[in-house]
Amino acid sequence: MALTPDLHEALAQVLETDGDRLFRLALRVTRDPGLAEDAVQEAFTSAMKSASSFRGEARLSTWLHRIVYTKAIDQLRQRARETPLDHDAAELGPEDDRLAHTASWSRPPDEIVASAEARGALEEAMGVLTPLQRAAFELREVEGRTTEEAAQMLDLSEGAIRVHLHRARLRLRKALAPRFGRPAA
Amino acid sequence: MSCSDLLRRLTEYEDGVLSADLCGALEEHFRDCLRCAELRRDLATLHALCHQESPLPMPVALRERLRQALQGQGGSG
Repeated sequence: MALTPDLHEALAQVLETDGDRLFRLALRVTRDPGLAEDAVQEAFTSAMKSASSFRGEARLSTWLHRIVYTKAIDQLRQRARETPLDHDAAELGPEDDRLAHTASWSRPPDEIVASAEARGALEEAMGVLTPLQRAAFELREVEGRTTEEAAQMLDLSEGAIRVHLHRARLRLRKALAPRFGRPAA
Repeated sequence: MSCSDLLRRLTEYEDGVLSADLCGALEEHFRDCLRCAELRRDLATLHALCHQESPLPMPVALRERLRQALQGQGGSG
């Protein structure tokens, strides 16, 4: 089925304005550039095929983000890279409290932020997160989306986004503590 | 407010959806609790670190494939 001219133009516009963000979401979830490319390619193919099902309740870019996330999870599942389903509890509990009370970062914040090595360490630490936590973190913390937008993009409740974001940040803080502690004199 | 209560409310606090009373209680707790103040500082550092990353663009070849696929589909409706 060919796209209507309006929808074709709108999809082409989303590719230009949101293409980089869509690719980065796929890359954050899969942590593999090849899988991320496949996910984005499949997402656009799927969007073109099922364009008639887009009813305009959400913005087109929001709809594309949701499809990209789903395709990225499918890529992980097909390659058996990770168990993509997140079995995290939907509410914060005592385990999260314990996670919050791990060692703090003792190096000065300015020193950490200015360090190229710290950025590499952050990327490496992303491996401790689940794919869903990485997606929530990318949308809220990196892209700066609101909780409402991230919830629509990942088809979750706002409360679930807050839980996954909170857990992601605590896990990253813990994983990075050995790297961001004060170096031995 | 306990540390545990603060942790459960932290992202809502950041989203600006808490009442003024709860916001005040959180801020008071941050002033009084070193451990939670350190957590807040580390999370702010993490946030700042995220924004130091160079944004990675979509690969040119992928963008071009998608443009061509869209051109092949467009304009006949």
